[in-house]
Amino acid sequence: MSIISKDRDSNTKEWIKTLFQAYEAGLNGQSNQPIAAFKKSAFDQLMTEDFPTRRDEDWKYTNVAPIIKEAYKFGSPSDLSQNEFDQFLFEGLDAVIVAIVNGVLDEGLSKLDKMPSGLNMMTVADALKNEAISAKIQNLIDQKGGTDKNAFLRMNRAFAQHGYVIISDKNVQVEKPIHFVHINTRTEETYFSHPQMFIIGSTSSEFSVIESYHSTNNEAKYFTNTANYIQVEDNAHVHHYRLQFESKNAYQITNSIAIQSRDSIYSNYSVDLGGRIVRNNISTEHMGPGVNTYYYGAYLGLDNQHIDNQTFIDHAVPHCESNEMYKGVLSDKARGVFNGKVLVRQDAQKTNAYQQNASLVLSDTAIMDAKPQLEIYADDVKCSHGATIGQLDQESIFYLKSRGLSDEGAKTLLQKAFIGEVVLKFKFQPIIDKVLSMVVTKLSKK
Amino acid sequence: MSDSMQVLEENIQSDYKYGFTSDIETESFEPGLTEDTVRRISAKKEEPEWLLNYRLKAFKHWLTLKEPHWPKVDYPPINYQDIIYYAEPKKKPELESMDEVDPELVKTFNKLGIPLEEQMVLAGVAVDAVIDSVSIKTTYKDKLAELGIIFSSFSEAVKEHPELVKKYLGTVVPYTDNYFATLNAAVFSDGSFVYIPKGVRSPMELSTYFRINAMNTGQFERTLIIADENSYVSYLEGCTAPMRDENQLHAAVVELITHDNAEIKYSTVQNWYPGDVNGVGGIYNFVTKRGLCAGYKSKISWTQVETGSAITWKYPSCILKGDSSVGEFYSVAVTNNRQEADTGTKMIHLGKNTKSTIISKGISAGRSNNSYRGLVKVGKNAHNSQNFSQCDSLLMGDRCGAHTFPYLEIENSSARVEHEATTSKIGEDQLFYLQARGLSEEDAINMIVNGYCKEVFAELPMEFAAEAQKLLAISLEGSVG
Repeated sequence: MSIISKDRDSNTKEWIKTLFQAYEAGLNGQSNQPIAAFKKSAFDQLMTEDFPTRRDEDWKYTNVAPIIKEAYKFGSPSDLSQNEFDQFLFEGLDAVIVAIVNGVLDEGLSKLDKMPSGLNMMTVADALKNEAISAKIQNLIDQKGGTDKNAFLRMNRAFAQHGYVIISDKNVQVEKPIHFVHINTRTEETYFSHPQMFIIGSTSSEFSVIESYHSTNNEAKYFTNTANYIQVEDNAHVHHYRLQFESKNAYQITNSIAIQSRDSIYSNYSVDLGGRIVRNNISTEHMGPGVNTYYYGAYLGLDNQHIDNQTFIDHAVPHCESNEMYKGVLSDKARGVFNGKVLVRQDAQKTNAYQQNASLVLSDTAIMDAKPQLEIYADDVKCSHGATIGQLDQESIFYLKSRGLSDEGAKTLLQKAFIGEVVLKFKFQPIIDKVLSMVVTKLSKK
Repeated sequence: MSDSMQVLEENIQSDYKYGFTSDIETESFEPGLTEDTVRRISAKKEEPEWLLNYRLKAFKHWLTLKEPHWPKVDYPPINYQDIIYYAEPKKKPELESMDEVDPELVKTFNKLGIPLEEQMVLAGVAVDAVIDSVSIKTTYKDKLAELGIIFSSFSEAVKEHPELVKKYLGTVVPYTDNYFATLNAAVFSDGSFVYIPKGVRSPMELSTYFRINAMNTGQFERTLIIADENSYVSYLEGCTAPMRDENQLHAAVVELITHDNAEIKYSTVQNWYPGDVNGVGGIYNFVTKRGLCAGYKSKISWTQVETGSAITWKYPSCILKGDSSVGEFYSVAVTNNRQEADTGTKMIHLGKNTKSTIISKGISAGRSNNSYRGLVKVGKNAHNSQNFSQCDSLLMGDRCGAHTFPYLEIENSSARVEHEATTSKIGEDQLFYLQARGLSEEDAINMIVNGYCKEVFAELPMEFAAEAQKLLAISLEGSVG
């Protein structure tokens, strides 16, 4: 490691240490709670590891130095009114609302009492006191995920203020989703927050969890470091939405690590419209046969946005399927990255893996880097990947213009349709409508 | 064990047919690499001072480098002090005709099935045979010289055309490029030099047979091919090596340069000793191959059939600098037993309207690992550039691996880049169909595999296409998992 990055890391570790010591000092007799040990172990590990640099293959296209350079504080509550808050919700979507404003839970804005039957939610602090759930949590945090040099996972665990465990009963189908609404209202201070979820889909259950990220001010600068752990047990189906509409100066790193037992389905739906530097790591490990995994991702980068999606699917057992579709549009000086890896281990026969990444690069200064990888050790498999990078089809534009659309209108329609192919896979119509309308708004602001 | 498994086993265990050593006396340096070794190589070859300085600069730089280990291959550490850096046949006669060639050598060629005289007469191929670092025989030189084509060994070119060598050496692969290229720049032994003057179309295919012959001799070939404006040349490179247990390092550098409207077609059939069933022995093939399309509408086309070597680690690349230049890469890579291959290409689009095509077919069997690793980069000013990549992998047996690591870096909005990859095994339906029509399982597999590689074989010159098919048949004529 070069001297410069060593300096950078030691500065970062300095403020992390100060912050953690302040937290420990404030424990005030709570230090014997399991949550304190839970955080402390993560902090200890964080102190021994380095943050990634662009010399690390998994972080080749994304420089996290600007993110960790800042000495962050914790966020503080704000007086967001119900009306202001409601405009960030999906109109017509009946959901359990968990409002997290500036990284702090706002109980007034949340609707926690309307939890549907069959779903249970508790804080990680409480869950750790339950032996059975605590074991599951421990198993999940031990998962390696698909990204090397991922100190952000430990950072999240050391500093998460509002970690939740969502656990379903067996054999339930729950229509009503749980929606975590993360909103930033601060402009004067740079703070960081660490959303954290443990989603456990018990045998033969099905439900949806939504996390969405918003800002009241498009200039605000802050850092969101999310970690999600998902366990999908036999024959269960977990739908996981991550909808990211941060301010254009925000940093976000999200890690979603899933493990799936036999005949289970995990669907991840991801949208990235905001953020200055965004890194999204998703990984799934198959633990039993008959598993299905779906990743859908849409991204739209303008100005100098940097959006990086890294996916990893570990086909460790036979008879599983995975399906990935990532589509995005890049313009101005934006940079998009797609790094998808499919690993088919020895004896994981009859695997079907399909991966697709398509990008539109619409300006001479926009950059797209794609790295779709297949690593295959079994012979009776069907694996394919496709990556395309191109522009809008001139003939399609001409056709639409000949039907009376303006040049702008034609281009916007085509881009909306391009991203729409992914968005239409979402299961809730209110989300589809809102995402598509936000895509159009963002494109027309250009 | 099922019938098909037996067929598979048999074929996987088929021996390396070109394994033998021929007794030619060689004069070599003692193993080891110091600045003195570099000076001695240079002195031995009576090189001018500028070339010695170039070697020394490279050697000094090499000392500062660390051996890279990022590829998906695994091999015991190489002791660079155990390698003999220079070996040449002792007798070095001035040859006028075939009669004067060492009869042992002629036998060697005969064993390889490519009798030199036959090739001279029948195939009309000029052969510059490199055996252990020194060119023994250059044929058809006179005929080529009439057209102004220079086709000689590298050391001859240094003596006879120093201005050309000096102008182009290291311009595509600088001595600082990578660990093995730097090593090569310091200790390169010999190789081929080709210069095609303006407006000349080479009337024949130029070909060099490389052979590693003396024990423990690392081969550090250096090839430089320059096609001046409006010229064309097709260059063939083919390799076989004797069987032995000591791993051998082969770190060659190939540089190609095309000027306006010129075209170089570079074909390789590589069948070096892959090691035995347990992966003992075999060649390490760590080669830097790169072409620079410097001129307008220039073209470089790489075609390779890689069946040999214990470890193949190379990326024949094209830098598409000239506007409207074209780069092509056609590859069949076969790995068997414990062979490992990490190969692919880099297409770097810098000029406007540049086009590149990548067709890569990987076949892995036994316990081998076969990786495609490629880069397609479109620079900011490469307007309207296009790329099409297709990387297919075929798996035979359930203990082998096939991997794809494509990198796409696009910085221009008018670029069109497409990448596709598939991985599968031989279809049981296809196999069943062919067997139902009376073909044996082996023939059926052969036919399917040949069909799978057809796109690449079609790019090979006639002489090589037949050899390539034979090689493929030897390497793995049958198998279904």
